[in-house]
Amino acid sequence: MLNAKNAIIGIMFLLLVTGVTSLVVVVPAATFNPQPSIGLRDYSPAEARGRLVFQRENCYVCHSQFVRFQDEGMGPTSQAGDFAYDNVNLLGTLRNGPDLSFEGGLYPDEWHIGHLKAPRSYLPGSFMPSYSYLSSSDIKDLVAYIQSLGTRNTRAWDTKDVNIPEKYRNLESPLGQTVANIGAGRGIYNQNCSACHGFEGRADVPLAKMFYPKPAANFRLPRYKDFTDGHWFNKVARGVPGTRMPRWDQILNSEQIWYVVTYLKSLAADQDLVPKAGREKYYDKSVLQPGEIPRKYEGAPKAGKGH
Amino acid sequence: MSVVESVRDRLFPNTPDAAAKLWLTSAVVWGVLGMTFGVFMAILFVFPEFTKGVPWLSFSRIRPSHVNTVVMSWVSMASIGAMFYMLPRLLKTQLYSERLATAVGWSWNLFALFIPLTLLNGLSEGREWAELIAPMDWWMLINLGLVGYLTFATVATRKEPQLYVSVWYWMGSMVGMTIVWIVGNRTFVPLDGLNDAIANWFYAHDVLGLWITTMGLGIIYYLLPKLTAGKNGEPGNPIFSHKLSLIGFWGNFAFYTGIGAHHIIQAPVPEWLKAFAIASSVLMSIPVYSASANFFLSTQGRWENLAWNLPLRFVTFGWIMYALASFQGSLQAVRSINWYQHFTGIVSAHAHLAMLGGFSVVLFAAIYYIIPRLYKVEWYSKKLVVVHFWTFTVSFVMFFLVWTTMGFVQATSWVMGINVQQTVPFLQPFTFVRMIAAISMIFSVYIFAYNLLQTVRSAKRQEAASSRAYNPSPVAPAAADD
Repeated sequence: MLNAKNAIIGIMFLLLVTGVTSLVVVVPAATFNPQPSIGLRDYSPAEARGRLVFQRENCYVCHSQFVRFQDEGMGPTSQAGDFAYDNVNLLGTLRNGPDLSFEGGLYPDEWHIGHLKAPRSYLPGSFMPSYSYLSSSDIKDLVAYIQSLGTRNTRAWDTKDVNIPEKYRNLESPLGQTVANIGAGRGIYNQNCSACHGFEGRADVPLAKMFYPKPAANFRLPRYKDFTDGHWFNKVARGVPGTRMPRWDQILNSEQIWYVVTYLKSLAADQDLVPKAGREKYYDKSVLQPGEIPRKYEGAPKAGKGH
Repeated sequence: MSVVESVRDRLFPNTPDAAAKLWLTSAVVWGVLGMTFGVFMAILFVFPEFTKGVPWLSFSRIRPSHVNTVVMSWVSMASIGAMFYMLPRLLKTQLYSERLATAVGWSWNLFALFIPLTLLNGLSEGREWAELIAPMDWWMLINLGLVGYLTFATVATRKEPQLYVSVWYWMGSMVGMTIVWIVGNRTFVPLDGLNDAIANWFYAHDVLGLWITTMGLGIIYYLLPKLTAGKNGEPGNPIFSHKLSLIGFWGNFAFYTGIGAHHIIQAPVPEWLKAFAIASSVLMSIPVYSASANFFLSTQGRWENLAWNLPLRFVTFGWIMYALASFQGSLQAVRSINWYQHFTGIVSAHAHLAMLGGFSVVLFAAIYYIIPRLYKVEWYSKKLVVVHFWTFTVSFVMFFLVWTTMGFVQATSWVMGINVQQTVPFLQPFTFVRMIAAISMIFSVYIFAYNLLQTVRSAKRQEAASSRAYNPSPVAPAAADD
């Protein structure tokens, strides 16, 4: 009973389904070829083996691998080029566990090995299955893969921000971390910055909660220790586009900005109860010892013009 | 009769409806297995150390086995079985080849056995929903092709010139699923990065859209006129509007095909693709509401049948859940809502609303309707059917609401800036209630399977009693084209 009418309907149907399928699968495959993100490298052999373990154990059912713009504290928003070296996508659709896009470097290898074997010993209340059955070489590869997530990408953390203009990148502060300089910076900070970032950089004022996107979290977090002078200067001077953080180089002169940077650097460094090796650069030892930063206003800072 | 022939007739009988019997009964076996996987995962959320150290009982290996068993074994086999029963009756002919249909049935059964065997042993491609390895992909393609061939050959040899809307849906599903399967499991065309994700989500959503939904809608369109028949033999309602059902058909295939990318709205894939997927998702309202309205209006005037007609109860519950799931799905695809609820349990609960509350229940209805007609016996126990209905529906609603609430807890916590690890303790009460609901639901499914087993056994006993020397008479060869 193949008459003309049925044949036309059948051809229309085939054209419809194959047409839409081509539009949503074949056209993207032909036209959408993002270049690798700046600084992204391919997987090393161990990482590639670890990725196969990750696929075999289907970890993607609970751990997604892309960061959306609204995800706070998960790293920068994922860009198309970040996935250039993936042959099987592991984007995931459920976050029963945390997103792993920038998991690399957050914990040491030993932590990951132990956590994979006995998750609840490390994170009480977690419902992640135990992977104690994996062979030790599989676990090693898997950890290598986890550590590669995000760290293969120089955009991963602010400290490696490639968006810092060349002229700021290698700047060194002209000011030493002296009590007087820190105090001067605190004065300028309190007048200009504390409304949003809070006193002592704690981000505990109403505006810090109200703004979206939020102002930088607590400047006392240890990770701010890794900011270079140039990075600090860039953030303050150029502001953060897309947020309420203004371009302070329009308001303060560069000397005042350096005072603020001196103060900000002292906040994170202040958190070292036991000073770590390599942190000495934050202190001018002849003047100040770690943990001895006086909280009293001293010196004569040049106040900012305010705004 | 030689030994070979007797073995052949035993394994691949050529009697009418032999295929439907095989497909439907084996589907229930896989349904029980697939849903048990699900319940096992619900238990593992509460007692994560339960299977510590056993690789093939690890949560992350059970999850793909659950998805693939439920989709490819339970729902697919039951839909095809129901189609093999309904197709000859709608077309006033015989299935093109019962022998081939039973042979594909055994092949599909073996395939269904290999799904957990491969996935639980760590043979996974690592693509969500499309985890099966390449040989399995090819095997499935052959099975699908043969089922499609049987469908089209039966339609070609029909005696009834008018094609009922169900037949449209089933023929469309055969074409749609073949395309979706080839694109989704493209064995020899590796795509990189995000293009792989685009093809992956095309597959994951269209196996629902162009296969399960369309097969299921065809079954509902068949069942409703039958089940609205009066108690004293009054004829059932015809389908309210043939035009509405055709709008549903064309709309479904036009809009459902392109919506896969709404799973990755906030991933860095091309914006035009996201926009197309969102627009298609919202336009899905047209086929969904035209079908739902058609179902509702076709039952008008016969609502009292719900009091005594148990399959009608199931099918009505099923299509209402389908309509709700589709309504929810259109909303969830919108950027402003997706922003909030993506990555949370709301999405998983939504998937269960369509698959478990919707089409699984429709297939329960189909099995409850078909089995007595296939085996010429009444159900072993009507009471157990009632128990199945109420236990299943009540615990399903609890299951769905708890999981959705859990998703809202996740969504709100994340918006408040609480990180994912910190939200896990908040979820624990919900996972516990979800486990209780899941256990009570699987209990009702076991009751259903037991009831089916006893029914089939009583049919076999009756058969043996009525004719000691039972000799299946071969079917006359399919009539030549008229």
